[in-house]
Amino acid sequence: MGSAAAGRIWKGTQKASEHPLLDTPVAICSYISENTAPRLPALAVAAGSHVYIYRNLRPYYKFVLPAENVNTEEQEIWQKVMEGEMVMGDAVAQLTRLQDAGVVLQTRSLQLMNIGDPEAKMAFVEHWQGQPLVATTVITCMDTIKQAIDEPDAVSCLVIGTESGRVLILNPAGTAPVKNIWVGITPAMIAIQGELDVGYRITVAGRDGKLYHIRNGELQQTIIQLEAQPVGLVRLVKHVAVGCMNDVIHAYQPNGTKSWSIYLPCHILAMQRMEVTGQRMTKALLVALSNGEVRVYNEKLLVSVHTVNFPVTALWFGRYGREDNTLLTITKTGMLDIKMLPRTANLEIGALGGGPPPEQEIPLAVPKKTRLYVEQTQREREQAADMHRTFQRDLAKLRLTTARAFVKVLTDGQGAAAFTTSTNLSLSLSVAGLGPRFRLTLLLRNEGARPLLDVPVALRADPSLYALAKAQFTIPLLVPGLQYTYEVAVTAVSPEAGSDAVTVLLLAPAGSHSSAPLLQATLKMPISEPEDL
Amino acid sequence: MAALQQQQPTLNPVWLAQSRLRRRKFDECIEVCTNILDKNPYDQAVWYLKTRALTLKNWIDDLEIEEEGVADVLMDEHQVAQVPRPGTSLSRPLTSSGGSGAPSQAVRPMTGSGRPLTGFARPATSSRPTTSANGRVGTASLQQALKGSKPGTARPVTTSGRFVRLGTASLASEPGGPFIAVDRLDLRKYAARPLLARVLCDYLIYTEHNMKRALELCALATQVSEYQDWWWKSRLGKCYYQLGLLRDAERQFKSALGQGQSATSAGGAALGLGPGANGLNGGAVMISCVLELCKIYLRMDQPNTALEQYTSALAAHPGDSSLLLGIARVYDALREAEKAVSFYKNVLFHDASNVEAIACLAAHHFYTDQPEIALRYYRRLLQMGVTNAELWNNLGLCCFYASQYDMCLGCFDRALTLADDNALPDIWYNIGQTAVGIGDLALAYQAFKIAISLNPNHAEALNNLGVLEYRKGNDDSAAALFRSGQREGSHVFEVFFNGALLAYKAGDFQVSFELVNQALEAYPEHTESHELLKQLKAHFTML
Repeated sequence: MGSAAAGRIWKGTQKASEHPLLDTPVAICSYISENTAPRLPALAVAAGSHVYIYRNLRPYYKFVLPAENVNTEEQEIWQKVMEGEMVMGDAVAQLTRLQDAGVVLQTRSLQLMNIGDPEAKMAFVEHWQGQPLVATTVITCMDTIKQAIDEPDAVSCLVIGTESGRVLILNPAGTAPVKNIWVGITPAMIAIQGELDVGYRITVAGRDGKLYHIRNGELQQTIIQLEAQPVGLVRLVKHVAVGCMNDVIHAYQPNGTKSWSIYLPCHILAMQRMEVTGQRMTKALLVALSNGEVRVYNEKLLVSVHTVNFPVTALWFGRYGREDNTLLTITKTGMLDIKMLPRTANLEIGALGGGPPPEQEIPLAVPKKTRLYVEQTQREREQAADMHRTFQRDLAKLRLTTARAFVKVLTDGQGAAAFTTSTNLSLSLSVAGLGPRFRLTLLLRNEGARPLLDVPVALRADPSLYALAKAQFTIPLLVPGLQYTYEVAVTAVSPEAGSDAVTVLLLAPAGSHSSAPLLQATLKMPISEPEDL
Repeated sequence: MAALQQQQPTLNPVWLAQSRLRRRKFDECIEVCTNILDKNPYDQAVWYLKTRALTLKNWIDDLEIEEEGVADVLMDEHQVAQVPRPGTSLSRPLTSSGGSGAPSQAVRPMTGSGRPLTGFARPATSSRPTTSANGRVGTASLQQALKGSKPGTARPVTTSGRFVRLGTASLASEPGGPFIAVDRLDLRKYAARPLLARVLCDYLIYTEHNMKRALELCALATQVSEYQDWWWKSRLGKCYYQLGLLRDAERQFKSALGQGQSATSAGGAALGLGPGANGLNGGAVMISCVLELCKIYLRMDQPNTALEQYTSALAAHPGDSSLLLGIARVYDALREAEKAVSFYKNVLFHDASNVEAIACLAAHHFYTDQPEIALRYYRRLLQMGVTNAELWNNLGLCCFYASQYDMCLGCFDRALTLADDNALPDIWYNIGQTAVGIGDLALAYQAFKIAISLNPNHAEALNNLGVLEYRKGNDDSAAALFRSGQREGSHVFEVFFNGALLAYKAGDFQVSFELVNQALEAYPEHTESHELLKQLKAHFTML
């Protein structure tokens, strides 16, 4: 389908014909619609609220979705407004009341309610004057169902899901619905099993992330709640496989019990049924993944993997030309890839083998215990008491050393980061630049529970070496838990004279009874580049 | 003695200068030469001696990669591939630890450049190794580039700029201004005199660091020698390298190697007097050329080419420890630990006292769960007379993990007394680790706090302190510590993972998701991060 809403037919690599469409297509199906020979397939293209049916490359019939029921009260309101029996304000109020009561209003009513200007409201009503309020809906998905017998060239019917939450089954000619099933939620994908006259099941993946089942025209009570939004729905022989956004494919039996799950390494891009005809009649599952892999699963057994270089957007498996089993792959780049299944292909045995992963066979590289280790253990066993005593003595000494160093950190502020215990402040300094102009960055954090107000900051450096842009400033507020960044420009006055340290002092706020600084940190400045270099 | 002193004034001063130069008493030699030159400025022999003495005085071994400047990091145009294949680039070493024998990132910590910690600190091990721009380089890393490798230091603007500074510094210390007025020299005249030209060239390179003039001289001299002299070509290569013209330098060294090989096979390089100092036989020169060529390849991020060069040179000089060491370093950087270890062992076979090889082997055994063997290697270092804070610190760690508890804390004590400001934060960090190991969390807390106060950029200490705060129930300060750790070290995956876990527990899934992705960027195989990511994704897709 082209982006300019046109259907293009290709024969080989040549474009055979092009059919302009009125609307962006949402689904396309080919099916046999007549029982007369030769059985030429018809092409159904769903766009907007119509299904266009083509035969022999010519438009043949247009099916229009039947209008939905409109709430009678809403219809009356519109009638009255158009005939001038009701003032605009009342009409809007009535519509609002209806909406509050839970009635799903039509687009026209919602548009009217959204218009603010009274004149524009009148003009809007005038625009629709004389046209009755109808509920239109659009098609969201489409598939086919065989009518009586399950054969490749048997007559089938179209099955359509609509935005209004219905599933319609049309007659083979596509002129009128033969079944109209109310699901209640917009179907996003449908999967069909069985024949219309014999017995069938339709599985509907709704927009709400649930699976609904329709059996012979009746909506079943079993509703399957998925753990993530579905991205693909495929009917298999006994199961319905649903791929979800959390990279899992679940397979459900018709009665709603889950049979198996496949956990995939990355996102699912597309899923499709693979119905192999020929000697082996296999129904397998095709999955395109975001890492470029296209996998084939027979039940839950992975039977084949191949890689496509670009993300796959769509897959189709079926008859192409004279070849029965062909896989068409469309990538996001617009590439169409055609692969044919070899007649000797075996889809019964796993490609990547089941069973334990190969890593299980490789022993872990555990280094051997050396003789040295044994000797040392021996020594440990013999002199355990001595070793313990020495260790405890050393530990006590180390604790003392550490505690001293820690106290020094708390009191002296010799390093570029400092903390206090009393006010729970932390300050860390860093310097950027090559010189002679540096930027000193102060990172301040109040880790206490109470905010601090008006904290004076003083910077100290050798004036013969460094010129500070500001030697002191006041921080108005330090809220707990936030990181504050302050920058001070520092200029090296004479780069040749060497480097020194800059000390930053956080003083106690005014009014406190102590004059000792809260915090002090020192940063050793790097050697400055000369000015003229 | 008295007789000698009387005789001394009669000694020929030129001979005295020569003797002093031979005995490496450069200052005294320069003094004598200056006196003679004052009397006779045109004495070429004395001029030669003084130039030589000055050069040797300021000689530095420039075979190691020096720290790169800001401009070299940011304005890099020698990059070969934007996204190199794993194993072909130093910035993208083999990701999986399986098979290569290297311990995983969770066991062996990383340096700031995203490479495993080596056992031996060289200028290039802690900083970014090559010119190739990996993911870290970009606008976001401008700050990173401006930051020096040590806390509180800034990077030089350019490598050559730093050499220029070194040059001016060495000249400023000379009384009476520079010895040779470089800008006024007629290089063409010197180029015609091979011996003088050689000393002048080395003087320009090692004392003046005036690469442009040196390059001119080399070019002229190469012309005079009709492109047949490998020595000039190697000097030309050195000049190009320091000017940042790596491709030109590569060409010169390659050409020099080709010529050098023919000269050696023709019966040894005749220029024994060549002032190259390492030019006494063809072999040594060849090795230095190979080493410089490989240095260029490593700068250009072509480790495999460097390996080829080293290996082919080894065929000519089997058992040369500098070549073997070069190979081992490259394998180490590529995270092919088993190969690196075998080469380090090979180095020790030929040179049993090679400090670097011993230290690297020790580190390897330490991180592969054999601390008792690491202990042996470190003890060997100690016996060889290496005493520094780092060694004692490593000994302490080895003792602790080999459960030789009686010696462990004593080692740390010694390390603390020996340490300078650069080593102290790491030692306190390791004390903290030990304290965590014995379960003394209060001690660990204090040690980590000290480490951070000494080096506020210590991401690992910030991370561990954050974990301790979290255990105390102070989630807010833990989160703050993780945040500052994340700002400081993009190579420490633990900070990101812990931050992500904390955010996840607090219900902040978006932040958690971002952090866990950053953790996986730093360590793509981290299982716990993958688990967390899976849980987060489940949360995001859950209905």
